[in-house]
Amino acid sequence: MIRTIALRHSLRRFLWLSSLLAFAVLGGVPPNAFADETKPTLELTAKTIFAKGPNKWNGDVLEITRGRGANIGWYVYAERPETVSVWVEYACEKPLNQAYQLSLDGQDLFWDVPVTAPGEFTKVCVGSLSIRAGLPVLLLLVPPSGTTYAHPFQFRKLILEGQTTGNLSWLPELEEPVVPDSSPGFGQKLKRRHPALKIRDLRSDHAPMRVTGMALRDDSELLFTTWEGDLFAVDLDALSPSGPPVYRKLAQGLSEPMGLAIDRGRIFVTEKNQATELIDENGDGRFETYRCMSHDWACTLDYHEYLFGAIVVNDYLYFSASVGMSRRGKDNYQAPLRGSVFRVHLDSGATELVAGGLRTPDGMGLGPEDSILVTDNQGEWLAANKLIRVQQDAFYQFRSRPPWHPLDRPTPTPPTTWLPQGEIAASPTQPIMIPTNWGPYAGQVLIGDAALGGLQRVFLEQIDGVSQGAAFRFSQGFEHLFHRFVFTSDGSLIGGGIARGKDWDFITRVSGLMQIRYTHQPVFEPLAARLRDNGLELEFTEPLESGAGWDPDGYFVSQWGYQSTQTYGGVKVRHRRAEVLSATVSNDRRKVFLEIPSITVNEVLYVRLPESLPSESGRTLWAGDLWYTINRIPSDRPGQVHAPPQESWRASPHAFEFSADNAGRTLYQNLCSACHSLDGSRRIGPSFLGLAGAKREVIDPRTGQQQQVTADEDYLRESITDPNALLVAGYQENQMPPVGGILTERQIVDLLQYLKRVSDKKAAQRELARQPLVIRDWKMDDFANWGTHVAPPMPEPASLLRGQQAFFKAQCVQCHATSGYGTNLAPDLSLSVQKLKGKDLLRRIIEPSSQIHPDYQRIQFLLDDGQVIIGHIVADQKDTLEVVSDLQAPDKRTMIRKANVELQQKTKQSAMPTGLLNVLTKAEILDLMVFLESGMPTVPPVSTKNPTR
Amino acid sequence: MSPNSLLRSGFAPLKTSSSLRQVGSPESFRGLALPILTVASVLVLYAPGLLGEPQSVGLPFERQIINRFSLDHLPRSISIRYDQTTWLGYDLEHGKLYKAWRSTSDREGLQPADPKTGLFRVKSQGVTLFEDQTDATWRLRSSEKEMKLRIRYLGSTQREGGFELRWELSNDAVTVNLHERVAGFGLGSPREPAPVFRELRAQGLGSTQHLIPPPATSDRWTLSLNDQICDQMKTDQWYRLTLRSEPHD
Repeated sequence: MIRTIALRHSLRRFLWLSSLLAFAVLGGVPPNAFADETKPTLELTAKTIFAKGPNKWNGDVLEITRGRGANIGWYVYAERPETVSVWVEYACEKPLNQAYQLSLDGQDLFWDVPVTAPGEFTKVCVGSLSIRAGLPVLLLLVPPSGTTYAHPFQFRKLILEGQTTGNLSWLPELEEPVVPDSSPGFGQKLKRRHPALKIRDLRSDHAPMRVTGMALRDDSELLFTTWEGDLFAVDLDALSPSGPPVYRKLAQGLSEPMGLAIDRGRIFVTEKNQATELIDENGDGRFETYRCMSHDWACTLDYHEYLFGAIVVNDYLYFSASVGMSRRGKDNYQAPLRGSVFRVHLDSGATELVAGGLRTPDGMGLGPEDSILVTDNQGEWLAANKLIRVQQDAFYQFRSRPPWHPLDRPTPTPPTTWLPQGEIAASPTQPIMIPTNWGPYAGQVLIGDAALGGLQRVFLEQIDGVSQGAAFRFSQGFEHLFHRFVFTSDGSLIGGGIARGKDWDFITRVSGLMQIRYTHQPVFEPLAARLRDNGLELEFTEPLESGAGWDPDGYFVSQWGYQSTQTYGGVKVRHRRAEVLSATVSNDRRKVFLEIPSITVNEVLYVRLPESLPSESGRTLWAGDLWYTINRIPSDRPGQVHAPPQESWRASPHAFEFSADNAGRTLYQNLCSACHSLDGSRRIGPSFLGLAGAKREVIDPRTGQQQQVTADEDYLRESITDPNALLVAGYQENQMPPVGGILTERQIVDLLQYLKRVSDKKAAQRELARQPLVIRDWKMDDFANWGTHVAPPMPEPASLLRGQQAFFKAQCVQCHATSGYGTNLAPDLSLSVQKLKGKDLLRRIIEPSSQIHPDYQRIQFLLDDGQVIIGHIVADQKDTLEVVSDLQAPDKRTMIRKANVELQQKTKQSAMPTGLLNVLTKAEILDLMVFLESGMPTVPPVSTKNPTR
Repeated sequence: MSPNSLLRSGFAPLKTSSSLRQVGSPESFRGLALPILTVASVLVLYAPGLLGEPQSVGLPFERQIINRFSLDHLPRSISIRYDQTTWLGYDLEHGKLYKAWRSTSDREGLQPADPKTGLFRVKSQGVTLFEDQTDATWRLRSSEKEMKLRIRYLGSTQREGGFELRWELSNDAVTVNLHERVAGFGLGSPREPAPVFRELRAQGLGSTQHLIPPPATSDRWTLSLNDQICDQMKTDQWYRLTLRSEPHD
């Protein structure tokens, strides 16, 4: 375990320097060691950049042909602030179709590269930028987005020219902090539904409704649009106790509506290219007129130009216009005013520009004081996802190429809250304010996510009129990927799902509606985070246990800024561990103030709580992550620091573990698992199972040539940094985001190590077993209509294959053998299924203790020291017994001396764990039963690319 | 503009109970009546048992007839099924008909533009009867002076017997509401071999102001008022545009 050596009560600058010392690659080097003390200039060579991506070296020159994956940057440090001129030494014999981006400490310049004479290098001044003093600032040179050039841009060095001799210095790459081991809710996304939420599936079995807009027409009538262009209504008061509700289609033929608003009975829809009012002229319930309220902005045929929203405030319809995607990596053209928030007067249709610089703002909701909240998706010019409280005339940084958005400016408006990619968001959707009848969460914001799934929660506060806040994990465990929401008057949340195929939890996601009720069941979790002058105050839903929470080592805190780039993603800046000087628990033990001297404007503060943090109630912590975005540091809200009481606890030395695999596992979970399985199943990308060292048939998309390669480290590395370089046969170009562009070298190494490890089948199975996903706590009542048989006489091969996959997924193979896989720790199922089928067989799985095979009953040992051990005897020696208590961990054996056994008897509790089927959907359970009843045949591989279910 | 102003029209509100009754002329409907009624009866009888199955009755904007997806090169467009084989495609930003075409016997007149990337763009398929890809649009003549007009699409209405599109044409001096309607459209049997026609009305013209159709329209369509041929719209009566010639390819 790595422990932080803290220097308490030190000066902030000293902390900075010590932090840099700790994280510098060349540890022990002071930050100004790379300054030329005789000149006011600083030369930054191509050889010292972070990552070259797919580009090649030619001596000391980097020949840049492809922007994606390259990270051409340096950390620079100034003793005092000054304005610096930026020079580039380069050669470029052919014109480029788009400018290079030059960014220093968040300021962006664009450089149209002049063509140079053949064989000659030249040095030109790109522009002037100001540099802050006292902290490392990031300097980036970013190639045109996604473009590949036949002729390289040859880059040799970048020169900063200041006025003060010895002021500027170069810092070697800051190494990212080692993060604690992750588990669901603590570094990883949650796997289960929040304990205080009850759900009811309102899906129609007959129509896959991809919900794109939702609104209440009155207290009981819910209207919603679908991507397919229909408007439906459902009467919430008339929901039948069982079965899906009755849906009435009210309108059709809409063009990709992505927002719906109702104001005083009038219905407004944001269609792909226009804001529309639906008018029922004669009150017969049908909308004869589709009134175009406005289309006063440009559009093209780009598939991704949507209008997201919508909300009515003070007689204006608010919505946002996403940018196009189909010309990315080509000429990167965007139609004028794409990426804007507009408002349109409900009657006159007068259209006004509210804000610009958005990318895929697929969610809009009302915020505090009738403000407009918008979420935006990570990508070009968005280093991470965002929650934005929209400000008039603000510019949120997405840009493409001239002509610039009229609100574009060098220093963009920061988001209200960053939602770090892969950590707390991946494709955020509608934000919605939580009503007063949701207990402690009232007034906070829930956000859906069309990729990460679940619900995220955001607490917002204002400091000197500036909005900011903290994002928390809240709930997973839904089949739906929520896209739109409404709260009904009784406090029910209706979520509308939008299926996108399979996500990283192996769930077949679904569309349609779901009702979510808050039950007021107490849950112990961090509720809010408020910034103080000198740190962060955490609030909990319940008091901490007396004496707990005082140890500053019991909180893992890191911090970073973001630099967005014109290539996909962006980078975390100055990612470092923050020191917690002290932790002070409030008198009511509901709040803890963390004294953090390094809080910095325009950075994210990440706090991890240990799973072991105890509450007064004895409940364990539901989730332990939060991300606070610092836009403004208060000057009049100091956090109070007190000495810990005598009886205070020190945090357990195991509060945080830092194991070798963790970094790679977390990267896999956050970035790769959506598309790459560990179980051999095909998703958007190929499985990682058996990958390392295997032969791969790949296609070079530039030549179309197919070849065989060995998946060695070089190949795997290139696959991460330049996904389109070689495509595995059968997979498409541009499916994989260039995650290499947002990874540091260390992270790439961590990920490669993990990939190599999980290429092994047993290691992969252990990884899969680490975090089983709970879809539903299945009971026999859920299968009340099942009979004595489930499988048809001639099962379909595809069904058998799915059943076999479910067999593995439910970990049956850990104990039962089938088709050459698995162990024999449990009864031979091929014999069992001859006697048991249908409901009887299912009962043995769901209620394993209902009847236990006599040969597999567990033994309970009472030892003479009072210890009780329950398990199977796997080895019976002369003087000792070896017992396995957990059949899912057969290697963990307990040695018992026979002489120490006071009592030994068979238990009535089956060794088979309950809840094994909870990781399966109902359809998967059906497939599993078909597979079992059919005698678990060896299933020939069939294509699962387009399953027909 | 008030939404109520959109409701001014000579059409009666749509009163049909099934979208199938909007398609085609009354004559063409007769042959389909029995099977449609049979199917409808079955649906009515069994509908209450299909919980979760969306229920809809006779809604306007049936996509097989009125398609509001992007057409060909036009992001903002509407395609109208004029009859079983003939389609009209509108350029909403320029306030005019972009294309009239007839489908071939083996394929529908509207096809997904790119089935691989989604079904939300369509392309015209078949024999072109008329096409205008220019940016030229309506002009205003006032006191022998021609003036350009800004075009603003206001929406569309589907009522029994007709489909109506509306635009606002304006400059600093005048605001004209242009209505265009296509009557008797739908999925019915092919019409009699009669010319394709549409009807237009301009409201808001001053006594000395005339509305001049886009050049391509004037070239290929005959403008008439009460069967009298004319070249400009001068009153707020309904004018007729009739396609003059046969397909050019």
